[in-house]
Amino acid sequence: MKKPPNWLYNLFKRCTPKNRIDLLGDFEEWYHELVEEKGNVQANFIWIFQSLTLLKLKAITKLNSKSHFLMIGLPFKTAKRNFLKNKLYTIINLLGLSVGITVCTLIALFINHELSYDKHFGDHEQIYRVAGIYDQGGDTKTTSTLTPFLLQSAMQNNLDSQVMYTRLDFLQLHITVNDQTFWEDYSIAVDPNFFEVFQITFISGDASTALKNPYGIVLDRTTALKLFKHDQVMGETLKIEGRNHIITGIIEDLPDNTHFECHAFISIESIKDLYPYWMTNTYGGVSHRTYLKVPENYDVAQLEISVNELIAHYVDEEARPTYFFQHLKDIHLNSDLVAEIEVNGSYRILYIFLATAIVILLLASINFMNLSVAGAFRRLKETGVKKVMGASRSSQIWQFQLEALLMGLVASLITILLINLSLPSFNATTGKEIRLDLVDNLLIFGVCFILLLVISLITGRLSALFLLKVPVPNALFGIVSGDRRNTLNPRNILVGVQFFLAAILLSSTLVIFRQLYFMQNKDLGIDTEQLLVASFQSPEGFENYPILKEKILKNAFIESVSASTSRLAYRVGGWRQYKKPNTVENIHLPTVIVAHDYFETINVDFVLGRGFNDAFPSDYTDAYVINESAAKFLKLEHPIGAQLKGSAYTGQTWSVKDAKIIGVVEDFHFTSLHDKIQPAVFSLSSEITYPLQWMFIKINGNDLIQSLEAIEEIWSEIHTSTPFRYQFLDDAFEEHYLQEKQFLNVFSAFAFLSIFIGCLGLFGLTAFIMHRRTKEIGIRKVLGASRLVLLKVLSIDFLKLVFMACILGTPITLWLMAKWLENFEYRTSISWWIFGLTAMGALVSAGVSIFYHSMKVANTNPIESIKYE
Amino acid sequence: MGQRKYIGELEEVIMLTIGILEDGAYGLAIKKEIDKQLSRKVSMGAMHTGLYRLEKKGYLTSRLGEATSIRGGKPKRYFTVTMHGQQVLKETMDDRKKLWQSIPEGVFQVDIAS
Repeated sequence: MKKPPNWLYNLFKRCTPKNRIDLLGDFEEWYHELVEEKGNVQANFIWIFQSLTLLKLKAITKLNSKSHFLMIGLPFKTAKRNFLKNKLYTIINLLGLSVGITVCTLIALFINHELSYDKHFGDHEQIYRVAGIYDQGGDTKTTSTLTPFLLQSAMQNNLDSQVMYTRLDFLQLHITVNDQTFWEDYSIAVDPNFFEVFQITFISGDASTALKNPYGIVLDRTTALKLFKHDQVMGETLKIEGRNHIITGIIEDLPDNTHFECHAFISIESIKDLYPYWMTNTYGGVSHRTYLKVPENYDVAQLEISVNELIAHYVDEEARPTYFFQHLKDIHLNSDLVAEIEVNGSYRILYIFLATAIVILLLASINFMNLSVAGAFRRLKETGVKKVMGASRSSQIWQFQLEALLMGLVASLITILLINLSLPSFNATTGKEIRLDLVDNLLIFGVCFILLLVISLITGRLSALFLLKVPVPNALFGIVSGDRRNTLNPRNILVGVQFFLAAILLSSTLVIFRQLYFMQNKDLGIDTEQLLVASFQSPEGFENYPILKEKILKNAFIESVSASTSRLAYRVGGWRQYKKPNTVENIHLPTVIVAHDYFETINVDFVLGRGFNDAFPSDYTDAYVINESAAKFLKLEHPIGAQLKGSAYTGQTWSVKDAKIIGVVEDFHFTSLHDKIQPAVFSLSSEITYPLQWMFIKINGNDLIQSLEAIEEIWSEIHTSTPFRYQFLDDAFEEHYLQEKQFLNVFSAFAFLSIFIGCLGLFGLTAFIMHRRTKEIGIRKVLGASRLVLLKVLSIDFLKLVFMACILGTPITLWLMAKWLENFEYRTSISWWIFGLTAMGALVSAGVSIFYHSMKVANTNPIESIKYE
Repeated sequence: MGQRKYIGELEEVIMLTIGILEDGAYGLAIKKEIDKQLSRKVSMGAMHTGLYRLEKKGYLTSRLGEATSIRGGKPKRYFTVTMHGQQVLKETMDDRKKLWQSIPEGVFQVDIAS
């Protein structure tokens, strides 16, 4: 039988409705006959002609059977064509919106994470931390998270027995497993009831008995794996400071959103004998954190009163602290006391982020609306024609809403992608471990998605309403009424608002940056570079100090060695009572016990007098050095030679140290710039003073590694029990600015994004405006305008707007940042160049976004542009 | 509905031809029959459009029939005139008759009787 060639089949298929194979059958049968009768050529012609006649049938079939589909399909098709036709505009619009929503989602995730702190503990509503207000010298009292060791037992023995009281002592454990040693920096010594207060999931072992007996240790899974390479380690033995401990429990790792980090738990009983005398026998010093868990609906205020009544039995009135309770949920976000366990978050930062998120959302939606509405005017003719053809108003509005909705959906897909891509670096900048858990964050994702849809729908509706307002005759000729050059038309105002917000963010970033820079670079009064701090670990360690010092100093690259009781960058000193001669008033002043060469090692200058010197043996008993603040605080006009009646404490026994002041040092920062410089007294280390804990080594020279190796060698030779651990002082100070650094990083990213979104918007918007001013430019060109003049004409409106936005943003930034800076004891000023720089930055970025289109229009041949439209 | 249905001339022809063909009324056969009976070339398109519309109006029904190798294994679609279609045909015929009868004697010179 004769078959028609393939191309005839194809033609046939194009001309007939689908699913009518019977038709094709008819054709083939006929073709067969025709070939026999009239030959190939004619048969082919007939096939072609007859196929074409079927086109009408195809059209009718389609109209009848798929009429509904056609009505839905058409807007989709129009939308697709529109997106593809204005690719640049579509991309800008999508990008702006997705970036905006991404930032909002990230911030929401961040806030959610911050708010989730410690909520994973069972009964977290019933857990409190005891904080104390101590008179630590100076004018102000110190509010600290630390409490005396004895407080817990005092409370347990005397107060309500329904309440559980537990102590936490954060320490670093030196763990030996099979002759391998590890440092576990995040460990806690706790009371046996710890796991009843903080309910932590045990993988193996029993929470209530794990630490009942001394020399038990509970590890988290990760640490168990790290130490033993497997997690079936119940009952295994490891050595801590030379003592055997048995693993009595394995717990799940504590989640990131816990206000303390800890990998290993031991019993306080196991190390109690290592505690100094003052710690376990007096209320004079603070060392442990005390937590309590109350029954449900408990009157905590009453308990607070009882504690303070109780402490009155133990501590004299003048040194008596005041205790109060912090709810567990307040610790991470609402507590900024001395000796916080970790750098906490704060509601302030959450509010700032929240505000920023709203601002960026606003920017992104303004941008999206602005661009969409501007872009929609290109389609004036389309709406005009549709109106003439009788399209209903609602169908036109729907068309635009659908298109915006499609954009919104695509944007949400891009958003998901962007969140996935940016989360790791966001985590790195914020130092959090935020995971994309759909179930936990369902609300956030839901809200963001709905936001996207709402923004799209509003945008679509707005575009449609604007277009439909234009009368048909104007629409058909593409004339927008009332669209003269007017700086204050709504679209320009919206651009202005965008830049206004961006300017605030940008200048705020600059202020934050300046403050951070100020803090990191302010002269601390001491030289922290190449100055390393190492702990003696124990009083025995300090016994080796003289020989250590001697040996280390033999190296040429060591400039100086000294020691003290306080770790610089973290603590000023323990407080002691002083009396001026002929007065009865007790004055509390932080006191640092130092070794010889202390002031030389940290390189602080003397205002008056001298430092402690080997040449004067009397310095041990009859000399104090104070700082300038102390001189002021004590109201000493001639401090040198002035007598101070103080005390000394060995950790077990007190003695009187009545001595004269031999020198006054310049004020220097003991801790970070968050804290004010306190008045302080320095006293030379001797038999009657507390053993020194920290060694300071000033290295002089370029080869740090060699120096460190040399020190380490000497250390391990003499100090056999513990390895050499050190920290450079500048790093230690740096640690205090971590929160500000993270804040700056995140904030500057926001500021950058806001400018980016603003510029995207401006870029897209100028494209449309230029499009409309093509004719004007043509005429100007014909009349002889130079390119420069054209550029000016095209961009001046926008630049004016941006400039105005920056000016308006200035007072708001000033106000906001002044508030922010209030939180710093030492702060930079907000100078005018910040706003100058902001304005310049905004103008330049705006200029660049306008430039491209302006150049394009300015470069077109006037003939093209004049005949345009 | 009470409303009179009108059918087009080609549609009338197609329906009548389907009647002629009895059980063998499929696309090509109908076209050929029209060709044979009336010496009139109908395009496939016109005819199938007509068939489609008539079926849509309910004057025809169709079923798919056997497939032959000559048709490349594609089935035939057989058409039959429904009762409704037959009524419409008759009405159309009656209308014509009435009109013819109403023409006054002598106006048309053609011999009607033959």
